[in-house]
Amino acid sequence: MMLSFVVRRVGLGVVVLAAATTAVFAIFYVAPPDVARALAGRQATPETVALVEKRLGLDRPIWQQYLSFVWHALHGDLGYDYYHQVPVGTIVLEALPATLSLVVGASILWLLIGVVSGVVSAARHRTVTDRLLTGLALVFYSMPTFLLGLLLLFFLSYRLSVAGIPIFPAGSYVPLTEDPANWLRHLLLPWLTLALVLAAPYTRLTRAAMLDVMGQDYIRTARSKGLRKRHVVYRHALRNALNPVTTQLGIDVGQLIGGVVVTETVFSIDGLGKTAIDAIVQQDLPVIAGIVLFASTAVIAANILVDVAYAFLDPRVRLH
Amino acid sequence: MSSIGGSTPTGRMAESEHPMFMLCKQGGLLRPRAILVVPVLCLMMVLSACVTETTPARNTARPGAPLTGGTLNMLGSGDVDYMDPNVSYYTAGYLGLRMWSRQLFAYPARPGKTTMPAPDLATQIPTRSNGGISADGLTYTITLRQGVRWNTNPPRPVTAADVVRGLKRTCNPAQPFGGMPDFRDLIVGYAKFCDGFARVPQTASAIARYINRHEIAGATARGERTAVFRLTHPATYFVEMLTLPAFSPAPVEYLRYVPGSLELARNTISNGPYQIESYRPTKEIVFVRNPVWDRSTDPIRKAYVDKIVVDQTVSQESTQLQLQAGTESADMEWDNFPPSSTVAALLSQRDPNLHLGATSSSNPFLVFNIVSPNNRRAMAKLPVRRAIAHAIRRRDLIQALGGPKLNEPLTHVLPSTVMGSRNFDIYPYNPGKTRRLLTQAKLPRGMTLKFLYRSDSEAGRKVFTTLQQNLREVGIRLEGVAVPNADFFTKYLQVPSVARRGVWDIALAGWAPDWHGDAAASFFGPLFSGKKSFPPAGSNFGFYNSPVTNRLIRQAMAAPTKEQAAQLWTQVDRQVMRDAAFYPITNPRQPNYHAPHVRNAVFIPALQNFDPTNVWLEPGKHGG
Amino acid sequence: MREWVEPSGPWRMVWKQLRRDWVAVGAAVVILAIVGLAVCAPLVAQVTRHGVDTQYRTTGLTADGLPRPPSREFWLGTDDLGRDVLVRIAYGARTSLLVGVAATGMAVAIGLVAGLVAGYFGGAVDTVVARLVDLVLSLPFLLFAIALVSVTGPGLAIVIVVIGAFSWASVARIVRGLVLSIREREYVEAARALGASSWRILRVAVLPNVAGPVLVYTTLLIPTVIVAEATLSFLGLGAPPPTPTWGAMLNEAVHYYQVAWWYVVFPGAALLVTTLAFNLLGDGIRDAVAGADR
Repeated sequence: MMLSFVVRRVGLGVVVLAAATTAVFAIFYVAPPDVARALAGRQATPETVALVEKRLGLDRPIWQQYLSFVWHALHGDLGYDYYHQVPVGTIVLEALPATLSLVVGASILWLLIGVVSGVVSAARHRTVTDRLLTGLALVFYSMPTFLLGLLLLFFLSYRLSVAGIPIFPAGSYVPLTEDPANWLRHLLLPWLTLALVLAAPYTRLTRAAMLDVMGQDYIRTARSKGLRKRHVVYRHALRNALNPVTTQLGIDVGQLIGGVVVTETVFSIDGLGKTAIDAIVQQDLPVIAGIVLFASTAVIAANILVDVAYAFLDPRVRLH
Repeated sequence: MSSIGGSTPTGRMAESEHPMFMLCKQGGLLRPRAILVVPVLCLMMVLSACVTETTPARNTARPGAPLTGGTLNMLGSGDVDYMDPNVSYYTAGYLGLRMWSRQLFAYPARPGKTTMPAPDLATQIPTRSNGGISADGLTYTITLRQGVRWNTNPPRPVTAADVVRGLKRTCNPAQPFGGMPDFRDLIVGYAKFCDGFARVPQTASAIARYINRHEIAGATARGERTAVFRLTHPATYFVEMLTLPAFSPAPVEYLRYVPGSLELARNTISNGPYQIESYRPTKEIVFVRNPVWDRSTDPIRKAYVDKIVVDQTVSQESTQLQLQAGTESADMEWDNFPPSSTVAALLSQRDPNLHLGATSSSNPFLVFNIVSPNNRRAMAKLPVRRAIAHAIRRRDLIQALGGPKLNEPLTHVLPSTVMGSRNFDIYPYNPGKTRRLLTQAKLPRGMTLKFLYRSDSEAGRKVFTTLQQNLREVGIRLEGVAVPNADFFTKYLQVPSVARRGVWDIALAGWAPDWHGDAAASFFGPLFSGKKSFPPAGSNFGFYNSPVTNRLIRQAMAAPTKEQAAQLWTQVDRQVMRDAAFYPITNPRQPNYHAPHVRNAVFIPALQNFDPTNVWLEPGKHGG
Repeated sequence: MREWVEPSGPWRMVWKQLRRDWVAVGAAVVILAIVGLAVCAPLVAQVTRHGVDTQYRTTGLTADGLPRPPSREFWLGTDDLGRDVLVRIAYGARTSLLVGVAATGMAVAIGLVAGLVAGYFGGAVDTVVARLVDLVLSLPFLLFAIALVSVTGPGLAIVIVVIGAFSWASVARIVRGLVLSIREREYVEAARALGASSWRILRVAVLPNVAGPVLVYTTLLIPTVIVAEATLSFLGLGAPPPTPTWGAMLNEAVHYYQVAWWYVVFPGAALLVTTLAFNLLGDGIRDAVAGADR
């Protein structure tokens, strides 16, 4: 029962992946890449452009290019970028650590912020603290990521640096393996940006789940038995919050891998998002297709995991 | 839609357990005192805004003796186009090649002489008096220096045969050199060689076979150290053209690889002061000293620093911040340049590390679509084009583009640093004259013109809005046609039918010469020489075709001496302007910044940057 | 045949509860103010005596061509072309609201129909719609939006279509879930037993019960859409110039944030206030609907 559910979900995932890559090719079929002309130079004659197109395989009909792409992808070969003939797999793997650092670090941070503020809000239910925390969460949630990123850049990076306190650098990424201290320093503002914006749902969920539990009978009974309030709150209520929070986390992280584009752009982090944007601007189709494939896989994998976890907990879901 | 920075309010929960319902169970969920939040934020902002700025680090001028050693750190965000000298066509590529690839002639890092070619691999500039140029101006005999070697194992001399091989590689079928049209019909037998080459399969072996079996009649090696070029007509600019890296010699090992390939980039062979230690495309290039390079054979490059590290992952703003901070790990720019907002501040502070270099370009300018059918073929009429030219206030456009300090006004074709350039302005701002000319041409008031520009171009946007205002004052409505960058050439400017259909009347384009100094041919040839230069082959996007101009261009290109050429080019310039073929705006300056501890930073227009092979670092700042 | 229909009247209760929620009321007032600003944008231009596209090169820019800070003449300062920021913010409100309403409308229209049909009729239709929804939700929105717009060229219409095309799926999913649960309720069963047509049931029984949550979701969707449009504009893919949009203004402001803080703060504040207001209003409506449900 469980197995067939998983299989069905994975099967659906593959279909979605195929659809995603087809969509990418379809988009560029509408406007075939200008790459050949860019590589051939501004004075290029049609003959010269044709030569470059031939080298890149762009003279084949789009369906042929697509099938070739699929065939190679199934064998683990994502092709080469048009401009420097670097294998797309290498490009993705080189960009991945930055995005992963960004997403994982930010998710830890927003989980912390969200859960802690949710707990505090619930514990101080209906007081000013509660209102302030949930209000702040909502304010940040309403901000576009790029706006918050810009504001943080301006106030925390530029203004402080100019005043002689250069704690926060103005962007770019330092690999963990190269310099852990600077890796952390360069990621602080991007983490903060993502975490503040995405924490709100977690605050909400945690707060709601805890209030839910706090109102239940057995808690009241336990409290009447004299257990410390905080003990009660943490133990039972947090466990109740675990389910929706992890579900949301799974979705967010999955989607974020494809969605950190804006943060990476604002902070000049060479992750998957920024690489994808650069590739789109340059119409480097193999790179775009490779990253879309990867991002979609991440989303689908996350969704499958969440679905499986949920089905595990709630058998009714498996029937659908 | 989590990807935008907000979470989806819905989860992947079972259909009956909607989070909204779940949360609704709590009732009275969110009653935030949002009012509290706002003043808190404002307070934060005000407090940090009160922090004052400090002035930038100044370097105290101390002209000392050159110091060898240290690592030069160059920061940028882009990569070379190719690591292959015979195929690279963009200045970012040329900058990289400067370290390790020498040509017959090169532009020296001597202030005042940076657009005049100096001998590099050649022993001297060829002239008629030293026999380097034949009396009829058709044959160039160039002797190579002794002692220049490739860093092969074992090292061997750079020969004239290598020079010929380099030229042959330029029109290979896999990645032809983009500037080929500049000399395709100039060197005897070159066009024929290239036509045959284009039919060859794009593999390394087929390319090698063709190169080994076919000759270019007008490019031969006489002995080990003499290269002979035969031209189809005299060309005073031939030596300037030989500074193009496309004319670099190529060692025989290069025939193993497809031109322009990553494989070649990983197996380069150097005859210059540095060699490539490592290259990660779009990420980093590391140059170290070439042990085989002999300083006494290289009058162009002094190569003081021991190592050059190019970091290609740094943003424009970050580059500027690091250079201004004066740390050891940031010395020069690679392909970044100071952001426009910073340039103004640096200029007003008279920061000595900022340099505004000549680009010798006309960028941007307005192209007039002479074949547009709109408004009853208005643009085809000379009085109408002249009227439009008089309606434009160049000063406004220049201010929109960043001000006159960065954008020298250009009122004719050739920028001031190009030989043959003389200053004149036939179309000063005169809206009264515009109205008169338009009335004379019997055009209805309320003409609408279409303006084509790239949607993602800041300059395009600004020029459009400003031009719109200018033209509104004389009753001309300007409609914007903003197109994606990728389509701008392939779908619009390079497609003749698009122009003939009247999709655009005025377009924003720009042009920089392929070489410098005696470079007028590089302007008029691709832009104004009639049918030959029509798109898609040429860049004469407005379809300007004047037999008078065409004849003058032919004469100027074949002029026997530089003096005569200069005079003729001036005449061509006047003629093109009289015909109001286009509207030049500016010859922009290229801002470059370097860290205070970098010395002898000489700007070379061909590199659009300071010459890294001639700078040295102050003591104490040698680190990487 | 009115016996099996649930008593209507919850709408009046929703309204009453909403009126007492002063936060939601405040948010509604703010939204009305922004709508007013958008509608009266030409009035703003008149009052300040500055056009929306007019470049004030002498008074609005410094000698070096940099923007001028807020002053008596330019209440919120100028932008990099010497244009009045306040006036552009007012006109920018039009774009944001237009896209917000249009894209949301499109998403809700499509999503509502898809969700209703899938949830109620079930079977093959349901499978197809549900899988389609899954597909759309699995695609990375921003990457695709950027790729699409970079290929078709920027424009208000394409932005609305792209955002709407990605948003309908979550609406459909919610609606489908709601319909599925409503379908099981007794009065619907009864209605079907009594022979009422599907369309009538949908219209009279299902729709009113779906309306509440859909209204809440719509109100909460608008700020997401506005943020999406601002993000696309920020990346240079929104409506082409000289149309003022808040996102495009911030796109420009990035290059000047070191010297012109007002150019970042004011459009940013406008964006933030608008989305916050819609979020607060949406929360308020949700609480009111949930309250009325009891």
